Amino acid sequence: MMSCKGLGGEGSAAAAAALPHVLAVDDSSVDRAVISGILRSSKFRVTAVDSGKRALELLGSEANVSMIITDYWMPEMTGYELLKKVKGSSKLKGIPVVIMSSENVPTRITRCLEEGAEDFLLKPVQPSDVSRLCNRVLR
Amino acid sequence: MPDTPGAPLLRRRLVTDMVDWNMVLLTRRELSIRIKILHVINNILFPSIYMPSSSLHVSLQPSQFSLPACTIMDYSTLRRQITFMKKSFFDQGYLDEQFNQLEELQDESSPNFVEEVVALFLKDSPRLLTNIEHTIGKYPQDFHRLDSLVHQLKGSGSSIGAVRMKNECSVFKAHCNDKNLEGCRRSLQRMKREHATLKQKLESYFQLLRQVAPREHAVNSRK
Repeated sequence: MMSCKGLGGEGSAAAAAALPHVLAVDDSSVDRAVISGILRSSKFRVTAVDSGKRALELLGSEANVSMIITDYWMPEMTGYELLKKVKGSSKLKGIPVVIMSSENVPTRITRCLEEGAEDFLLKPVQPSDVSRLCNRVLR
Repeated sequence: MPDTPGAPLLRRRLVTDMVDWNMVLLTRRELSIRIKILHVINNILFPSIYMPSSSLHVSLQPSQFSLPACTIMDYSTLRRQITFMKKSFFDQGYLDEQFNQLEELQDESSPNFVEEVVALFLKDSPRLLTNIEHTIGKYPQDFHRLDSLVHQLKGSGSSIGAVRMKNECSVFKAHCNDKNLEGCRRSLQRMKREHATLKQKLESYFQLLRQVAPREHAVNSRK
């Protein structure tokens, strides 16, 4: 699990805790690093995990997650399955979920949006995509 | 000491190199500090010919800095080398705009962000290539597994801007789709060659970057 502070190492812990907290889910270590870097540069607090299962564990223990951004295609639990579990939970359903995928499959996109995904981003994700998305969803 | 031939030209060249360096890297305040350092160096090298204007009065003592003039020239040369190297990566199609996007994410809190991400790719990708090779050798063929493995490799390559790797992965996926094992084998060999070349180029690039990084950190620490 990777946790990245959004203030670049400066500022107090209290100030960092006041930033929106984004949970990034991706089985690829490279993509976790990239999405964490993008979110950090947009001044978000980031926790990155490598599976849907770990994401649910974290969501169960810590309610302070402002947004979930997850890869679609992961082993064991896909991002779509994670989305369904989040939207099916009375405690978690209010958390916006964004899906990322390297494949532009219209039926996949439609299915995710119909299930309640906030947005669907194509990989490689650009800083401008995330900045625009977070501004819309979180502020 | 008499005015030596070529000294004004050398002084102009030193200033030009310093300005080039500053224009590439530094803010106005940093530029001002660098020019002051340069004039002190000039005063040490050419004390009889150097006539600073009153607006450039230098309060630094020579003992307060330790950058010999030749190091400034080397730095400028290194910086140019890095720029040309990176441009060649793009011109030859090894990297695309995604790499630039990652470099733009680097800041004081994550000065080595790109190198760290590339290191993750270079750590992960050999494992994937090995797994692909192993799966190709299995019987009966498991094209679904092959597709899944190369999908991961394509994704992470794409995330660092490794466009040749990404394109070869697409070719491999097409062979998987056609259940063309021989096509997969040939594509794998090309992927391995592309990977080896990319690894060598990026490692050279970051090695050069590390040579200029200590100077940049030392300069920033003087603020």
